[in-house]
Amino acid sequence: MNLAQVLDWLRGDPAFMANVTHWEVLPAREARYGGFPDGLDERLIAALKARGVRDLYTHQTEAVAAALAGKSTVVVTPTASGKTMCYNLPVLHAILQEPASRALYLFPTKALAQDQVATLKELTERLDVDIQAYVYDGDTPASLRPHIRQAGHIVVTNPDMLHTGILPHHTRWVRLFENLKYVIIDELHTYRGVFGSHVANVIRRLRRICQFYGSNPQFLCSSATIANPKELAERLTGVPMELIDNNGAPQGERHLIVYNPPVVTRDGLRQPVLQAARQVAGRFLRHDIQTIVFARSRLATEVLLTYLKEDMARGARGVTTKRAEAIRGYRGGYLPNQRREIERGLRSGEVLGVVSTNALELGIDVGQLNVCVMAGYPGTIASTWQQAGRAGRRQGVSVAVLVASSAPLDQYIATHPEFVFGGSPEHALINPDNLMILVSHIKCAAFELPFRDGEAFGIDPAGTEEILSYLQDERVVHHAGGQWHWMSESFPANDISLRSASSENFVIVDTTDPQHRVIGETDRLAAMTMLHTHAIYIHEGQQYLVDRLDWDEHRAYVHRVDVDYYTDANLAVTIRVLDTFRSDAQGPLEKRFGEVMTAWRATIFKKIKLYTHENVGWGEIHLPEDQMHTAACWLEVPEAVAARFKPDELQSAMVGTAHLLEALAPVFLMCDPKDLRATVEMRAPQTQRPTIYLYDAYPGGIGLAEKAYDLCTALLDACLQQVTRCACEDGCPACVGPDAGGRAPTVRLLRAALGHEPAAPVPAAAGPAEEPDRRELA
Amino acid sequence: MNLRDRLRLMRPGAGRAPEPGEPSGEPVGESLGKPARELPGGPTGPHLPGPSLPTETGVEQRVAETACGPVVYLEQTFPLDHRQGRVALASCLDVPSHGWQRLLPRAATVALDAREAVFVDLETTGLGRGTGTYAFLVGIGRFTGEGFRVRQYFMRNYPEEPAVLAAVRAELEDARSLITFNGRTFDWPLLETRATLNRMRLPLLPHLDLLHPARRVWRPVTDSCSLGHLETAVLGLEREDDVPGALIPQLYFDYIRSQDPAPLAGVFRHNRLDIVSMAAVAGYLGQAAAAPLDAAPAGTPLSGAEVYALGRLLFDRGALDEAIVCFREALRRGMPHALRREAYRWLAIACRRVSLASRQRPEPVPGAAAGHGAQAGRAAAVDHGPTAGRGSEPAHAAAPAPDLHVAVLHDWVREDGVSTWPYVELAKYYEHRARDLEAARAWTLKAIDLVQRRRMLRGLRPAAPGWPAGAADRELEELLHRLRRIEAKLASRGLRWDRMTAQSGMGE
Repeated sequence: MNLAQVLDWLRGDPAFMANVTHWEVLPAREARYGGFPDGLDERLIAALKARGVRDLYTHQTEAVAAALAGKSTVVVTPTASGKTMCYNLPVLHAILQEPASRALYLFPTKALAQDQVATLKELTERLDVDIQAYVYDGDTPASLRPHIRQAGHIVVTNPDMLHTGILPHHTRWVRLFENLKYVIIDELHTYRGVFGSHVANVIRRLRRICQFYGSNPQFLCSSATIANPKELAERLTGVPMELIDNNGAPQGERHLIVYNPPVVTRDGLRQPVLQAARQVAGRFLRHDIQTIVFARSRLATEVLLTYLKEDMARGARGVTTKRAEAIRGYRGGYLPNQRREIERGLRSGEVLGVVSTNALELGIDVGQLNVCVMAGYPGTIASTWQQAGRAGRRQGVSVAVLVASSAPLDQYIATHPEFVFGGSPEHALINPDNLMILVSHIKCAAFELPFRDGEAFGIDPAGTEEILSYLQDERVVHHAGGQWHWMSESFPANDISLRSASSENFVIVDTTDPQHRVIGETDRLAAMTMLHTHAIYIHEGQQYLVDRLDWDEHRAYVHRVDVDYYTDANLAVTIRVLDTFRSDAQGPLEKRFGEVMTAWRATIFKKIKLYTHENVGWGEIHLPEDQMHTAACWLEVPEAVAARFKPDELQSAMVGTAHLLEALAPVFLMCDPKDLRATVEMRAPQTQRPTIYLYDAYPGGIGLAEKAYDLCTALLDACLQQVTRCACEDGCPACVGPDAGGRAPTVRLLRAALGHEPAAPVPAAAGPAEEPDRRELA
Repeated sequence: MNLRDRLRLMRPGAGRAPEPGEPSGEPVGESLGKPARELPGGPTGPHLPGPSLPTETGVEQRVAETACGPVVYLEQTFPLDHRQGRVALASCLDVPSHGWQRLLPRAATVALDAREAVFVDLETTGLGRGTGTYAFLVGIGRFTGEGFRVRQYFMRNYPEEPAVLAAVRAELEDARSLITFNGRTFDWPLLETRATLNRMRLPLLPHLDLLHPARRVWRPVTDSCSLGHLETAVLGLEREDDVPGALIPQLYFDYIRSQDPAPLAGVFRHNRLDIVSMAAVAGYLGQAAAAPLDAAPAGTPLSGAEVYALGRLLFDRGALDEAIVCFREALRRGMPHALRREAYRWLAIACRRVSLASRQRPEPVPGAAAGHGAQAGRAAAVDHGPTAGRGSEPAHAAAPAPDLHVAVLHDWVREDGVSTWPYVELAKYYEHRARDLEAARAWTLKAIDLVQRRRMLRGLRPAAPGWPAGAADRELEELLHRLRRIEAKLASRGLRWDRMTAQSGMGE
């Protein structure tokens, strides 16, 4: 069966259709052309025509014309709409006109950089001019580097390399910085949250150095669909932007399906998302239709991979391992050459199915896939479109299936599909002036060039000076002669990772064979929950038992095992308020915003049986605590309200509300769910009051908690709707969380917070609330 | 909370309450929010106010005027007969230009003269590269009419950097070449970075970085080729109370904060000694490279190991004849056992190459006795090439004179008897070149015997032909392969003699 036939078959299958809550067909769209802009170098037009490009799509025409007119641009169009042309043409034009011109390309990952150079080479080969484009990243051989620094017209790199490898050594790049005409920022939407806030500062440093060398580059950005591309591009680069979103690229017919797995237990639990995704993907894979499956986590990727490999081996007549081999995994921990091999396999068709984390969401060239299955809502509307865009490029039918999990957010979307497919996508938030981040980059900037008195970096000159004088107290800069000089032996950029709070990754060493082998690496937080001693670490579908995690050396020693369970670790979080900036009434409750210190520790892990997901054992984790100072918004429940609940009811209500808030806040704050966490304290240390916290998952905060404070009522209202609408009896993972079982008290607490219920205390339940007082007296 | 307090809280570990007695990490007496303290010092006025530098006998403190303001420097001149350990500074002046040539990178075509060179060494605020590392002290040594003069330009505070660099530029403009120790990767790029940051351009001089030749000459016998180590090992000098290099940045930072230059005295001395030692090492290396056999820059002839290493240097420069002389002399002077093997090996390789080169010459030269000097050896190695013996009974009837390296290999086997390399080389020679298959088989068998004995000593099972070979057995497997091939040739000999020889001639 081909894909169209499979779709007909699915439509006719009531068992499948019963779970489909949304099936939308986007019709095919014709191309719209805008012509080559005036003034574009004739040689370039000739080369394009020789490649079969007879005209430009409307958005390409507009983008090139704006760039030639000296503007900075941000192009927003879907996957595979030819957006690379929007920046490649102005760059090549500039080099053709003035061979000394230089351009710097920034891609969020190394893999994308490699792809880009290949694309550029195709085009430059047709030009009869020597245009040199190189990737410059951590993998570039040292012998090639001096040549690239001197002669590379186009240097393709990533923000991390710019941060540690280029800017601190700018005197070796005089040619580039003196002649820098364009800075290209592709996949702009990935630069949000903490990463984006860091990158915005790296760009501040870049512009500062350009200014030193007398250049003032234009920024050409391109982004997936987000709500605020222009604002994001302007905050990220600090220059005014022209928005180009008049997409003229053709598009094949696309089917968008939302699949909500059936309720399988009497208490309203749905079929687990991985099982459902396994069945949905299997329906396509069985007919040899190339399919990409996105999972929400590394763990989920590996579990799904195991399932699908097994299904493929079994599904055919007789066991054919070859079919199982056509299913591959793809995620961050894999080594680069392994990833390249999988990418090639996808393009050639040798790889039939791939299970991936969002690592493949970005524009890595894996050719045209037909079907995309998302095991769980990817977290943001932008990501959903990106992942769906992996299936179906310019022609032919393609399908994207979103399989909802039992998480509240997923259930919200399963019942409100228009939220994803009709509504506005998220705002990408960044906060380049986050104090932690800002200070880090002021250090780097001082290393690169001394600060002059009165110079501003991001914030105003007075604030900049305050930070510099703080750094002088910290003994890393020195003020003399009207300048702030770096005065330390250290190399600050090495200590600052753009991607996570910790710069050091943990290496995973396979000790099964006498010849030990590094099989992957993870960041610090992932190490805590995935690589603790006795964890089952799954890599490429193979299980490994962690023998020992050497926390100080950042190494985990594992060996291959074959067991029928996986492990899942619990993180215990404690929180302490440092300072309160704002407070207000929230009904009879009080809401506050301020700074907190959070600490978390991996405490225990559960052993969970494959396939049945039953809990078959547990163990303790002995790892040091990690701390973070960040911004939080919190709700305090005064005695008068608390007194209306029995103690265990109150706990259920608090946990349930926190669970809902954590799940739904990302929708309202338009952020990645990972960026925000919620936690509960039944008796907060300072106030003794039951408190629900919602905090930014990054030191210093990136502005989410404060927004939550502002939107508190809307948030609580959404929580109340979600929990009252839920189909379960008394709480489920889709509403108040897996362990609570306290739907009714949660509803009561939310109603109270929203002022829907009178705040009069119920005398009978007053006892427990008095406990704190008694303790104070004692 | 104000900005600074928030910053303090956000530092890693800030959440914990400080242990009693735990230092708070705050410099004592520096209050919060106070504007930055402006430290005294700066490039102003003709009197150059600010701290004066520590004094030492024989060292003068002076001020140079530059376009970027005045700069303080220390100056000391060492007499030409000054001995840095065992080596006289004047030895540098006696190095002939081909001596320097051999120390320079192969592509360099400049003629270096120590009289017109500057010796440069920096003290910096860190060992890292990158734009945040400053050179706060630039030491420059050069030969003048009176002796070897060392000037040390000092950055008394950051604003003086342009003046320091201007003075350095003037020094460089007054020289025709640059000599450093590890300057190619450290000192020079750092100076260039500083110049670029100050929008200045330094003249580009031919650059001799002594680290590279020093490594070539001494790496075989020493673990470290740092200047400090060579100072002890080669110059025979022990520094007393020297400042460890790792402390230097911190000493400078302390000075910047306190403006008390007294603790820097050791740094000035350290830098000055480095420059003088650099000149002495340069003299030693130059003399040694110019005439490895005759040189005695430290009063005694070079060691066998040094002569061997210089042979390798000459070999790489294509001076095969001189290299051969060095290798022979090195073996005569004696050296550690492992190095002897290397010397034999390189001697054999050099000889083989000479033989090969002369064989390819169109006009054969009449033979002479082998083994006495390179010239004689080259002549002895000449024969009539591989086609000469074709059609007649080769190897015995019209045997060409043996290749030069054969005698070396025989000597080596006689002396050593442990390395398999010479056995294999002899087997190759007899199989392919002399076409003496019996001899080739005999040498192969000896090599196999040697490998087997070595395995037994290590407690491994002896291997037999056809035994599956692991990676460790590859050497043995190759030998067995060779043996089988030779025996096959022997078996079919006489039947298809012509074809056999034609094929084997193309063998390896």
